[in-house]
Amino acid sequence: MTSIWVESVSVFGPGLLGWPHASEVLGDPRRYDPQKTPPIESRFLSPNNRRRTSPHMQIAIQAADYALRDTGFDETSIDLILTSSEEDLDIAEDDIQALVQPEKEISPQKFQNVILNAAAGHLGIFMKNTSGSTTVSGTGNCFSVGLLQAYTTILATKGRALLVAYDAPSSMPYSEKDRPFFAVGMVLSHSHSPSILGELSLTLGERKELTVMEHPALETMRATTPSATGLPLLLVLAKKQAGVVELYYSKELSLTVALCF
Amino acid sequence: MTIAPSFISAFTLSSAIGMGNTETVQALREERSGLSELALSPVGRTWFGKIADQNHAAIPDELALYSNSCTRMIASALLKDDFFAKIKIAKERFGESRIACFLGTITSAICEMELLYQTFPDQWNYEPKIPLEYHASINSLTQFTREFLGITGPYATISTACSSSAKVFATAHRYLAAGLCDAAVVAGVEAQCELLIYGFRALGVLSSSKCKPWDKNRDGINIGAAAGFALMTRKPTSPEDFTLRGYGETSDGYHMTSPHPEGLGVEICMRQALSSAGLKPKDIDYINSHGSATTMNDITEDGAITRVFGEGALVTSTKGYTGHTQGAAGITEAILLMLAMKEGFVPANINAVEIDSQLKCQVPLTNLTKNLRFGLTNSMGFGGNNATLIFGAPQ
Repeated sequence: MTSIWVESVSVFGPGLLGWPHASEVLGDPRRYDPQKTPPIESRFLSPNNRRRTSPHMQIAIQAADYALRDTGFDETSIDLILTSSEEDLDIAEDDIQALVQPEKEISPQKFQNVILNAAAGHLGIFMKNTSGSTTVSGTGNCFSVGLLQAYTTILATKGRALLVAYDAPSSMPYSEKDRPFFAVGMVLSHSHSPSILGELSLTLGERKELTVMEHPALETMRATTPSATGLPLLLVLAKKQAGVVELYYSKELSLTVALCF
Repeated sequence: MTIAPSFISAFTLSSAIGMGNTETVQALREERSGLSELALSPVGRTWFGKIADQNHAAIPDELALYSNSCTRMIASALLKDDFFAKIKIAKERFGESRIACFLGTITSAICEMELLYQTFPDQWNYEPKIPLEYHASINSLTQFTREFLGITGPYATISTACSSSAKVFATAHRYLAAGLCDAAVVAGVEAQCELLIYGFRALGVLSSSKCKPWDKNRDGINIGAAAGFALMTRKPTSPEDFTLRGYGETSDGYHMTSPHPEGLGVEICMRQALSSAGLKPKDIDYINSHGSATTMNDITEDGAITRVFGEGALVTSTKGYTGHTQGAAGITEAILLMLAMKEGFVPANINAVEIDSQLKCQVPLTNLTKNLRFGLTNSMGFGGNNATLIFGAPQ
């Protein structure tokens, strides 16, 4: 299959405080401390923009910001691919609880923010982005589904796309209670450039044995947080060693990602 | 950049105007709306495009975990127009793992969560008996559709508000072009739920009467339910195939719920679609507009269409028939467009009485017989998310 190129990465989650820090920690997992949690901050999150968004969206916006920061890429024209296991389930529950009341009065802000593409919508507005923006989900496989969406988009446009995979905790009865805030951003491109971090080749095929993380806490996060299922790929990127990563895609299929430098 | 067309060998639509294409065409020919009155709580009313409950099919035992009103609606819709049988033929031809599934929705099966909370209003912390992934997950309808059809290829749930099921065509085209599949089921599904009705009421854009796209007195939208499906292939399967000739995908980068005031995002989107189709504006015989019937939508879309196609472009909105079917609107209108192309007429812009004189498009209020070679449809969603599709009639 045709290769694409990784131009930049950001990652925020327990013990992963941005790519410069995370790449060091992934390279030497003895330094991993899951108790360290990154604050959510971004040049896109002014006080007004914080009020307009929920933490579920803010973690995605933070990852997008840091993946683009210092790259010099035109933020107004890069394609956006966002992926999350679900919409903001706390907002969904607030809306549904409002519907139980006789007045059925939903907050307009909570209505516009219940949609899966709320993070992408706000991000696009903050970036003044006018390119295509697609938000996808595959529940537990959202990272693989999002990566393939970005891959096919880049092959079609022969351009560049920003992929952001993100999840947040929720108190809703249905939700996974122990899920952390986690987001990863990657700028992916059709073209080689001097600043690339690695070359990716993707193959969708029959189920293979999953690539897991050796470090127990990182493996727990990979196994329980859909947007963190790409951690093995980040590990290979951090070590700057060619490798192959097998990601879960469906009951029948694996997404094989070969990385070289 | 011009793209190679992909081919559409089967499609079916179930909405307020009918279960399947035959009933749908009949309603279009009769210029008959499927909207019905719906009382609001605590007071007021709107109109809604309801799919009749009695049409909901049973779910096979092996998929019982998925069983709810939404999946029963999908099962029923998939059995219309021999769509299920055509997928069986496609599986024999391509193999089940070479058929992808891309489904657009906004609320998925959230109506089931509404029902649970309304049934047990004092038990906020109940333990659901069925895991979220089968029940009300954003991805549950996609997985149900794959399993019901027995296809195992690539998939994604696409949720970009009201452009969701227009973007499934663009996504499928890219997967086909990349060789990741040989065929793709593209879908849009939106069931009746209170979230959409009362959410749009909260935004002040829910009409209390039948929606009147392009009318001088238009006053908002009606919501509708729908389930639409199409089978796309990289190579032609018969001379009867429609083609997806081009697509555009843009963002406004302007506002979460209001379109760009000059319609810049949708203008660029239409220009992208024309460019990818290798067509000129004069080649487009009919535009099925987003035409939501809000004051802002129709005026901005009219401006964008007029800048691309000139004054007098032939445009109608079909939301007066089905309501705004939200995450299913893209495919609802794509199928209505293909049916109009097949039947050789422009569907009337029903419910409108007097077209807004500020608007420059030509909007027929009765059906117009016309040979339609190429048709275009726009979708515009929250987050300023736009998609345009261009379809070609069978050769």
